[in-house]
Amino acid sequence: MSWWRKKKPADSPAEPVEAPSELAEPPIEPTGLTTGPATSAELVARPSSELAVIRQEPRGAVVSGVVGAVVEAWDEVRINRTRVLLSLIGIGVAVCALATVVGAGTVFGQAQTEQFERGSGRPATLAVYPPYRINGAQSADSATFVATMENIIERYQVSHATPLLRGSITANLVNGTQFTTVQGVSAAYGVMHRVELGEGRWLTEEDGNRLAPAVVINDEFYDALGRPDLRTHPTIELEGETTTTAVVVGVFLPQPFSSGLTLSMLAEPFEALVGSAAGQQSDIGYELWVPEEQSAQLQDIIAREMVGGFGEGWTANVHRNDYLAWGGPSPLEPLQWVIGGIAGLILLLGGLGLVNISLVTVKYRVREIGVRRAFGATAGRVFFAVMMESVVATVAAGVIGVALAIVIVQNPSVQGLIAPGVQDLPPFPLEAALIALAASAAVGALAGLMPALVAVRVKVIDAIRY
Amino acid sequence: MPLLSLDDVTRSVELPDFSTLEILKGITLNVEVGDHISIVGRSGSGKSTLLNLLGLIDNPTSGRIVFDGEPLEKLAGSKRDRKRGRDVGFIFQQFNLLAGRTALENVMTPLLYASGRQFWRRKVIAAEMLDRVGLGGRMASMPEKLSGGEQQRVAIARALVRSPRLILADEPTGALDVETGKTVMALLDDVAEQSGAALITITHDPNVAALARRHYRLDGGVLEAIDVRKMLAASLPEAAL
Repeated sequence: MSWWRKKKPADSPAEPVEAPSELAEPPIEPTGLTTGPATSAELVARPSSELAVIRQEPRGAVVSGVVGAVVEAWDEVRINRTRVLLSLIGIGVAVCALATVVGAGTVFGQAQTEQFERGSGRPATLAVYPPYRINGAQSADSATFVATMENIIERYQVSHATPLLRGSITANLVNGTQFTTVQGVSAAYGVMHRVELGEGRWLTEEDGNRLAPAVVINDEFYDALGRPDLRTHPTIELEGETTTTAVVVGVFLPQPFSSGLTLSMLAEPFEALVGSAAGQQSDIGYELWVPEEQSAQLQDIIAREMVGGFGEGWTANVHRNDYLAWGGPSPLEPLQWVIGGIAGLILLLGGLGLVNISLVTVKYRVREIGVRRAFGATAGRVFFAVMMESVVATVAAGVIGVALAIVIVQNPSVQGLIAPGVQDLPPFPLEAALIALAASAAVGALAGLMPALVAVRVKVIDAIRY
Repeated sequence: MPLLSLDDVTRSVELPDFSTLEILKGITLNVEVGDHISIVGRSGSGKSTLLNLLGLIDNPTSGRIVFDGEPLEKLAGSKRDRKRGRDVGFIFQQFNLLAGRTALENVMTPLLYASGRQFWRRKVIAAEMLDRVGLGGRMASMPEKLSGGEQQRVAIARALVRSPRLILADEPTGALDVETGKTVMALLDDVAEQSGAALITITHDPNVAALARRHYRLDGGVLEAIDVRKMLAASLPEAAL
């Protein structure tokens, strides 16, 4: 008798099938079907009311749907990691490039900003010069101007302010007397203008107590002195209205163009050395570094104080001097556009590569998609899962790309290359990381769109029999 | 009330020359809860088309299909997909296990489309189901490391893991040798009976068809009840002499 003829009648109770001893497969233990925790068999065998409760759509169906799609996507990425890894090299490199150019752009931008700030001060820097009369008949009294400014600085508690005094003297050097341009400032000038030194240090408040004034000289001057070791406290004899011996405490960085011999010293010894030469209207001024949001208000106050100090007929000479007051678009804007354009192009190329690979992959997955549809995956779920695969993969590549970009941009030798001499090295910009991650997710979504549409169009039975 | 009923169902397709090919003609069939039906038919007889209709995958050209009291036309789009996932389990001739996934992961796949307890406890439920089909020790095995019979048992576990009310087996032993086919069919029959699910086996093998309680033949798109004993007798080697 054939094995199939052992089939029990329809109305007979369920009994285990006797598996013939010669079967190739291991025997099935039918008793296991009626014991153990609740599974399919037991669920269906339960009373219909209980079954109905179990079959109800739980409220968390949306949550489990989303989690399920992400799990599915991650499984797909995990299982096909080699293929995914290969396809994502392009995206990872593109995201790394994007984050690197944005990050490096920020560092380069900071270097540019610092360069602007060295020249014209930090935002917001108010430059104040003695008031003038419209007809130019009379020069303002510099003593009144200085007194008015010192009063303003004290009353409004301006923490960073400096006089700007300019004059000329002679320096007695081994090869003879040399014409020297001299600048009188406060110690705060160093911070306000991000003074860069090649040797030694910038002037401090304590330098005001020295009998021999401290000076910071330019590199040309340093050459003329024979580049002595600053630790030996080299001195220079300076001749102005008086003669004094100054101690060199610092040397500016070399400049690409010749500006003759120049030196900077504190305002007090400057007045003693240069004397009446500093009384010229064009040689005296003040700079105040104030909060940007208060700069306009303070500008008005200074103008009013000046008119109050000098009287009617005088026009205040105060204006904002820093690079942000130049008007028009930010000078860094063209640079940012160029960098952004390059990064976008890189990402576009990476995305195109991913679309290509994803489309080919979906063609190979037609059967799998059909099986999933047969087991209850809705068209939306298949679309979302295929899309998510792409997004999960590109975001993972994006995270790696951003991490790599941080390592590159924060590398001291790279920083030295893109922004030599930058003082306030910015941290890796958060917006660069976020832009790169958002871009990778967007590329993933775009690259996943076409394969997802193809996947949704798969006909279930055709796919299974494919 | 039957679990699934087909009332005078037809299915036809338009050919490239604009003529109409009628694949299924006036199919009427009632499937009760716990029923076991076999449908035999030669290649091209319309078995796959009928499978599409029974599995809530395709729509009839005319006639009416009612599943669990709900007419098919009222089950549209994702609602129908969800019902199919919840109430219909498929077993395929070529097993169609997902490559690169273990036996356990394959059985877990339908539970990814479930919700609530079935979704969150999918690993435990899938493991229990594999245990019940005798593959508790092969959970971590990849499909290619399993024999044909074991693969089909994984497919059975996958089809049953969401407690479907209807199991559609499309040539379940078609890719197996005779002995393995016997074991697999015995298991499928038992599990279906224990769970109370209706089982429809579509096959060209009269021996497999004979396991069912009701037998039909699909010939030229027409479904008719047959006497299995006559069919088996006709299939015996001596009958050919």
